[in-house]
Amino acid sequence: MNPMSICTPSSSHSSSSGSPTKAWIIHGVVVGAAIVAAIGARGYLLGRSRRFRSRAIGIIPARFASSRFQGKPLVNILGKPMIQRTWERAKLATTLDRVVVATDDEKIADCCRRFGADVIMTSESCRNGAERCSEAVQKLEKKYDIVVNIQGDEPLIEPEIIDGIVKALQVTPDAVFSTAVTPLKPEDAFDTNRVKCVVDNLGYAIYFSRGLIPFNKSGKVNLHFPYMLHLGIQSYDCEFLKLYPKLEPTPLQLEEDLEQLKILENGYKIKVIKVDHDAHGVDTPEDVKKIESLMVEKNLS
Amino acid sequence: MPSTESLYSLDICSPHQVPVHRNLIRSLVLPVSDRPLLPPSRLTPCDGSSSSLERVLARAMACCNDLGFKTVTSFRFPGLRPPTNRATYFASSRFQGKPLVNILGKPMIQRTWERAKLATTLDHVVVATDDEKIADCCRGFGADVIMTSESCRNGAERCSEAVQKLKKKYDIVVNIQGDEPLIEPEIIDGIVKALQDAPDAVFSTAVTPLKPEDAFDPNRVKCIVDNHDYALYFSRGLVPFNKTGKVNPQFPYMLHLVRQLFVIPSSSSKSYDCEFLKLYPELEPTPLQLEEDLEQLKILENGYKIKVIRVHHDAHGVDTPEDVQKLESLMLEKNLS
Repeated sequence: MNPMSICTPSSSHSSSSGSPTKAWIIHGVVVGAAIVAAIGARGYLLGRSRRFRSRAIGIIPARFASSRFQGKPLVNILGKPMIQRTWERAKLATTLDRVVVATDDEKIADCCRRFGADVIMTSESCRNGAERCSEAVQKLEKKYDIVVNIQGDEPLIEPEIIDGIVKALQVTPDAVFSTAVTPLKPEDAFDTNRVKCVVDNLGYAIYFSRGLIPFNKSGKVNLHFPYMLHLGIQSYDCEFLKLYPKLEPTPLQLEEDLEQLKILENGYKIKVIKVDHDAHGVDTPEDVKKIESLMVEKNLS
Repeated sequence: MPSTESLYSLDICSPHQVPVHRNLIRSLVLPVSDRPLLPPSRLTPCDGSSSSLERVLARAMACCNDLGFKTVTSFRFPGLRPPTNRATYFASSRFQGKPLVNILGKPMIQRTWERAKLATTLDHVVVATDDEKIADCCRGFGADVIMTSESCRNGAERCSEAVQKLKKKYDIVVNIQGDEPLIEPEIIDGIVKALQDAPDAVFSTAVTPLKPEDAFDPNRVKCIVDNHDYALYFSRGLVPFNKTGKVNPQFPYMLHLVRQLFVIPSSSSKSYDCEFLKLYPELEPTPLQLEEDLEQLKILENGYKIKVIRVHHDAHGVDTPEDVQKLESLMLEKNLS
């Protein structure tokens, strides 16, 4: 905006009316208004877009029904429901503007409200956590750029990992999804429940598999190779999360039974961070005891 | 005056819309090896057709026009027959003198050269070698020969050196490396067209259905692709795996025709990938490549894209003198001379 171009027509008027002082006042007012508007606009824009993808929300999808472990989110771990422990850890993450629980069950909703969590009710027909997160984030009034899908059955998730994947997505504009990996233990190499991951030179995921990758000519695990285990924490670009449930299942995803392959097969990019985290998922009632002993041992209440 | 350089360099931001960088004028083919004359077998290329390239260009032109740019084209489409080249190399630790081995009366290299000449996307076929015996043999049956140094570590390096020695400039180099005497010219054409239709890929190659008995053979390299036939990964282990850990008889696993063909663009125009053929041998080895012992992983780990076509081709590698006999019997059986 050029104040002079605005002023020029009026200055020709004022010179014809013969009052230079008036012209200067008009100039002054216009310039002043322009400066105020510019400062205001800059301030507004700065406040809104300090960083790319700056607004992040953590969502803990929780389902009551389960084939292996009914009512899992509410199971008691050293005195607190598992979902509460997960929620408390998620609240410690510094990059999340908000943490909510998304559930389809009133019992879980009540339990969460009692310890102070925000709850969003979602439909029972959600087939997986990502769909539930997608539905939940669209019910919110506020707009978010990043949605972190925090699995409710990892009560020992470190807040730093959540922050790590959020930041990864903030500095990688061409990725729509980010996740974390941790070193794979050699004894898990041929365990198909442990998902392995390979990445390229820049940390973009190349593939995820239940089989050992990378493989080698001998067919045995190489004790010197730094294999990577995929952790279940996921962070999505919000726009991508909205269209993600609508993507058709893809061949490799169905064969391996790994959701993240749908993203790769559709040509999108996944950013991966490496962390050191002992995965302690709770899948069965036995896992509860294991985790309680671990927590007592490590003096975590 | 219209320029032969591409005037467009649009980056369209969805995963499979391709930036139009490449002005594909000529293809250069460098097959290496030994292919006896055989009738073509079934070939099912994926979307390798020049019409899709035209669609991409039409879209790019429309975008440019919308933005207010004038567009001029002076592309020559793949229908014209560009020059091609060919490379071969002599060193083989298991079978000395492999390219010259006699298969039903003709040296393997001659059979290969004759088949490469049948590929329609190629203009010029040349043999690149470091050995005088091979060079003489090839000149004997009428092939053009380029001498290259012994220090080339693999086919790509040899192609790279050979291409630089040529006066003419090429956009695409096809390396057919190998001990696969029964390669079909249609496969060569298929991978050339695949690369022409995928300007964002720097490499294209072919896969064929994997036989279930080869699922756990680490010498058989498996390949997986995304929805648009860009390679995701290559592995000596079974990919995709599944929860049971067993091979799934219903799943269409794919075998990489690894010692076969690859196509690399090597244009001297200013397109962004024009130097990939020179870059490629210089890239540092990468972790997955070293662990799996698969060259093509170096490309993926450096973030480049590989386009894949699906064909039906029974692999008949010639690695040992015994393989020669097997091949000769097969050819007699199928009445091929």
